[in-house]
Amino acid sequence: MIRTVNLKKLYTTDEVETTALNNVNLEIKEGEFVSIMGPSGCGKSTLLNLLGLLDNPSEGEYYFMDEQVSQYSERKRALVRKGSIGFVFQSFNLIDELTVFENVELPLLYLGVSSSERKKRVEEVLEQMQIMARRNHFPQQLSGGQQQRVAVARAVVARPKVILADEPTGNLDSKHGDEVMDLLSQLNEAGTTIVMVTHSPAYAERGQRIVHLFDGHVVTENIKEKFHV
Amino acid sequence: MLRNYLKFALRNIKRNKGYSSINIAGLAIGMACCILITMWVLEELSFDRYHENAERIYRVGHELTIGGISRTAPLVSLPMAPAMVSEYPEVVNAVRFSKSGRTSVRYGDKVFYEEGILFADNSVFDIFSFPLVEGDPGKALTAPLTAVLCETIARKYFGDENPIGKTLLCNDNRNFTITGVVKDVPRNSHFTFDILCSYETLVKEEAWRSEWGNIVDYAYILLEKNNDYRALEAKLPALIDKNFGEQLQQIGVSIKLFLQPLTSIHLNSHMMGELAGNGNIDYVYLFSGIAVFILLIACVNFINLATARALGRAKEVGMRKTFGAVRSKLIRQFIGESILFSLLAVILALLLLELFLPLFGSITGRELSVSFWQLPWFIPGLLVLVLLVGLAAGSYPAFYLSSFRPIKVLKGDLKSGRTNARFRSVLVIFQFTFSITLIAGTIIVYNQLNYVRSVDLGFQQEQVVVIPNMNRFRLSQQESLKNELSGLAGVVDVALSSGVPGRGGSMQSFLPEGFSEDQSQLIAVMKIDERYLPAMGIELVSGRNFSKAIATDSVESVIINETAAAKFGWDEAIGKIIKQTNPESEEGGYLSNTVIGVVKDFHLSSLHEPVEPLIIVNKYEPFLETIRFLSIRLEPGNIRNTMDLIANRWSNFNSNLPFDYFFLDESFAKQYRHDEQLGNLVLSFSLLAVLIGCLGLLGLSSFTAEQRTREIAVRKVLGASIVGIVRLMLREFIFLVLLANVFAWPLAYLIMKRWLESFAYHVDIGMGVFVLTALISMVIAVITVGYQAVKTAILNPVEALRHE
Repeated sequence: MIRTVNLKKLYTTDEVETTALNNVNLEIKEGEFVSIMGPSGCGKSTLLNLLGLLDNPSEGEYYFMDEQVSQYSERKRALVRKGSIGFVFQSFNLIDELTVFENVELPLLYLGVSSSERKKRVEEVLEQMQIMARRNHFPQQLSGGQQQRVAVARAVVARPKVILADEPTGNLDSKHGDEVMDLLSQLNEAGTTIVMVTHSPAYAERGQRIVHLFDGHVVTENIKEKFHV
Repeated sequence: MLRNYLKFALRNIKRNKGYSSINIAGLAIGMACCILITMWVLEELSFDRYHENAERIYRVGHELTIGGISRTAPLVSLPMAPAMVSEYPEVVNAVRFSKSGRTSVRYGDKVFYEEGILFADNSVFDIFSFPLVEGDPGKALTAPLTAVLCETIARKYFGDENPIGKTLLCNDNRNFTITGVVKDVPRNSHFTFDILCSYETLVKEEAWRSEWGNIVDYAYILLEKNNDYRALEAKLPALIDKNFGEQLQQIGVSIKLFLQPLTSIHLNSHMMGELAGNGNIDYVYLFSGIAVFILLIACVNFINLATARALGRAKEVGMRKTFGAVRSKLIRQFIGESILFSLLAVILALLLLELFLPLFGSITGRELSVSFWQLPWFIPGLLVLVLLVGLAAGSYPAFYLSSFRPIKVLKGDLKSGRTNARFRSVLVIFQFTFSITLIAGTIIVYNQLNYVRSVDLGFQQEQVVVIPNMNRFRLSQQESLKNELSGLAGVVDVALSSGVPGRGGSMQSFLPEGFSEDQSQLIAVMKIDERYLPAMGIELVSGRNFSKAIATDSVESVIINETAAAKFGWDEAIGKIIKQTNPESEEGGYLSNTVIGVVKDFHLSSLHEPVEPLIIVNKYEPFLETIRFLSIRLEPGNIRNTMDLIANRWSNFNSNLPFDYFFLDESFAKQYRHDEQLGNLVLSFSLLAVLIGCLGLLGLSSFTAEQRTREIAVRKVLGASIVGIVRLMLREFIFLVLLANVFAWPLAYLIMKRWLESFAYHVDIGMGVFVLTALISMVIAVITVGYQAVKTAILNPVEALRHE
């Protein structure tokens, strides 16, 4: 599903060159739930952005669904992104001017899904996230937990192969954090690949595998057998 | 998708009320100006085009050259036009007009003065499209003493009665039978009339007109289809040669006829003796330019505010892209939004227009057609305007906003870029350059108007009341009225003259001493009585005034002005001889006049014209000049009372004619009516341009303030004073406005210099104008930005920092 070979990302600002990622080799299989951990500034988010095709690596190869995408143009990346990758962010990143329903509908809009089909699918996923009652509210009228559920709904509505979650619980209290993690676990059980960056060891444990990053390097890959009861 | 965008855009407008109203108001004002000016320009360009034959009608004018000096006038003599029809097959038809001055018109006990009386051949109805509502266009004006009325005038005199067959008494001496009623002349005509009298009347009653040399009438000819008028024009010298070439040669004069296409007269013809004041193609260009620039200023506001606010939309752009939007889709969305803004603005603009159209009418002295909705191009024109403005204003922000990369947005790593700030500065400079140019222009126009009002004209124009149309009375009657009025309390002096400053005046050819016979000079001539110079306060530089006691004065004495003396090269003018062709003499003999005095130059026409050489004569019969005005100098104070006394004497003197008079200073000032209108227009548009620019500045400064809240909080924590902060915030805007001044000054100088050159006497554009302009623009900028700056500066820094 996802495979990187010697992935490298350099940031250059005014003569200072910073290596954010160095020789990252990673393989994530379809249906996996992988947690990425590491201290602040170790390159977790950079890695997630590269995996999410929001950015191009400076060097190395990136195979997304067996396609070498590392040097795709912005336009091509956008085409791969929509429909295949869903995003969940720490700060939710809902569009303030759109209602819950419209925020969730957005990815379908760009996929060109018909109006009636959009309505069906958005309602389905809102139901699933248990925020149907709030469908006509604006983001500011919701609690953090509710906002993140909307964000998750938005991430899954297009039925992507992969969901990339960047500290999805970072802005939430533990109760809401648990709720969101439950949702992610459910999605994973239903077959969606999940890659999640987190600071919380407990939530990281939900993954089948934990990748530890330090200064742009993968330091350990903690593979564990996980059985669901 | 479209519905989604629309919904989103409307929600956005609602959410950002301040931003949206600034944008929409700015665009609306700009559009309203643009629509207004466009309508005015289109009306100017539409003049005379409503005639079915518009493209085939030409006016005949002449250029007269004498003593090396040429004058053009739109005039011909009575036989010229008919001769053209009979000589040249391509001339299908011709119509002659003669302008009647202010005329008293009586029907029963209704009597009014009418200004709009034209004598015309019956062919006027064949050539022009003046449809008759009543009467036979084939013969309405064929007989002498017949007249056709405009509908409005017909109602004025006859109410609901049928005017046909009734008679109107004109100037107490001619009875005209009404033979028709014509639709009112459309306003977009270079000449209009209220009453058309038959030209046959003049043919029958005024035999002197039949001379080829009496060039006093107007003529329009109708050419065959697809005929080149230039070719015809080339044949016209032969016509003149054949008919009175010899005569002209004798007196050393040459006359050339020329043709003017009807449709170009209004904007391009500015000769002495036009049928009415024409428009000016320069103003059409000037105001078209102003329209475009005001619209651009409004668009620049939009661009500036949209890019300044870009940060606020970065997250949206980032998310849309993250979830699959490609750039083109976003561009389309943003341009769609600006078109929506533009659409809302145009609706507001139409409301503004409805409100302010009457005001514009009073400023320009001309009402614009309020019924513009009926124009077939109006709605499509508006839509084009909406699209154009939407694209012009929305393109840059759309490309800029859609360029945000989601990764940057997610990292929160979006700063309002330095390039963008610089770009916005350039736009602000552009806006203010234009506004400041207009401000400087306004100041210069008003300076000049002030100058023309206050300059010493060489005569005292205040407290002079003038009674026109004295030429309808005999000499003895004129004298007795004059004597009667001079005895009145409150009257200082009374004098008779052929012309008064600002009105009338004619030219004749003279042969001053020292010039050879083929060097006769065309010189303005004025006939006055011995009271005129003292009554008007015109100073004698040397010699003496006319005197009743000296018999020769009324026969062969002349007074000249300084310019004439200078032109003739005379250091000592007194005693010099000025010869004049004797119209009585068959052999081209001369009459001799002796110069008895020289007057200081005084302005007979507006300051647009230089003072011309002038020859002043006493009551000298062989001159064609007739006494037409009686000027009365009044004592200051209690003028109303004196006017009552004069009116009273008038009714004793002539009870048939209503008392008609004008004040000399008002009449003279009327010559600047167009200049004043220009001043008012430039003032209005500069106010609007400044207003739009300030709206933009207000919006921009509030965004800057928003962005700098944290910086300012930190500065305050570190000890900056409120005044220091305000100064900091003002500094950059003031710098931009100063820079705009630097660009605007030469621009204003060049444009206004050209306008000032239309005056023979004008103010110089001094540094003062520009210093004043700079001050005004600075004050405006400080007030606009200051509010925001103070608001930001007094903010508690803790408030700002807490959010971090």
